[in-house]
Amino acid sequence: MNKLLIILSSIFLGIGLVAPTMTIVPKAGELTWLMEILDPESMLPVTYSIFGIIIELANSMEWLLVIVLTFFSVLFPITKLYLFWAASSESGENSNIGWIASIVGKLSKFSMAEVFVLSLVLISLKTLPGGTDVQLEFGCMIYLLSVIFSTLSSLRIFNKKELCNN
Amino acid sequence: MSNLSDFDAPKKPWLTAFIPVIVIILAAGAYWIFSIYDSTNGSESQSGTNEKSGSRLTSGKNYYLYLSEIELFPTNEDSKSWDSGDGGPDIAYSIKWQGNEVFESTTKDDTLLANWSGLQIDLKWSDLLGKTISPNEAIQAARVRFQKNESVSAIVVDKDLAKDDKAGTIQINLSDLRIGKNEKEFKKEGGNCVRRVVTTVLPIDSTMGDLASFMKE
Repeated sequence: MNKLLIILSSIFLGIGLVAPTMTIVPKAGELTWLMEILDPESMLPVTYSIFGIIIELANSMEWLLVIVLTFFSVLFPITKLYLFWAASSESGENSNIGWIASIVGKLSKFSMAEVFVLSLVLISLKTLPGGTDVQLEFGCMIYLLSVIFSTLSSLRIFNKKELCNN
Repeated sequence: MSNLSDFDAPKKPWLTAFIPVIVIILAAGAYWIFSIYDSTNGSESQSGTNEKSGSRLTSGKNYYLYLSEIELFPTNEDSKSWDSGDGGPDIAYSIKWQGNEVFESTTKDDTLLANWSGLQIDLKWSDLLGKTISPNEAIQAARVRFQKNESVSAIVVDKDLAKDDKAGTIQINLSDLRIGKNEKEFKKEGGNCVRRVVTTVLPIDSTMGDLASFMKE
């Protein structure tokens, strides 16, 4: 059951990283129509995936944001699922499970960090002037499902550890 | 000699833990391939705007109509120069629809070949304090509804301080027009001094982006 949760979380994470996460609809206030005439290409709505956002930030040389987003939304969840699987594969007698479970426990405290970072990015974009709008796409929901399944998985690993200790 | 088979041998959790990583890569790859295939098919079936450049006008629909280019013959109807001296004609036109003047253009000074973009924003310094400009103000064109067998007339004049000289009256049959630019040439006869006219027709319900691309074409 635990491995099934990890596999589901992995599938959703894989899709969530490349599926459309948000669409930015540029606006220039009352002069939106004029900008559509003068520079129609810059006024077209743009849809980004999480990977797309990271690539766009890298193109803009925003290296701090690239590192933060890559760590919290790509590397961190993948590492977490890797360790969860390792913990699920360990038998009850194996001493490694305690060590892995303690890491998993520490990681679980940050399990919403990726959503938090994503929210921060969205909030910062929401405050753009001229009425520019940010719409969440289905990729964001899929990414959230991945977080939910990995959280459920970590809870089950904790229960397993407690049973072993008892 | 060990009795353990490969199946019974202890699993290596650190290696098998790569399964989720592989699943993540496969899921991402599968979605990426699917989305590329989907976007390729989508772009093939996409028809773009309802009315493309070159398509016929639809009965009952409203359109912007303006003359984007007027070329006059080098001399007026009396075969004399347009203005006294070397100056060329100051070309302007108005459009009549159903007996009413529905649009009057700005004047293009000293030219035989006048152009209008269809867009114009007149800003004064005082406007910088806060003027609201609407698209309707900026689009310099007549608004007409298309009905079969209807026509509009464009009255082209050489603007003068004292009295405007008539350069010609062009009858434009709306059924002959297409979305975008429509070019027509004329002979110098019966008081007509207009050599060539380009009539531009744009659907009123287009987005500003579409209007801009129609105007550029």
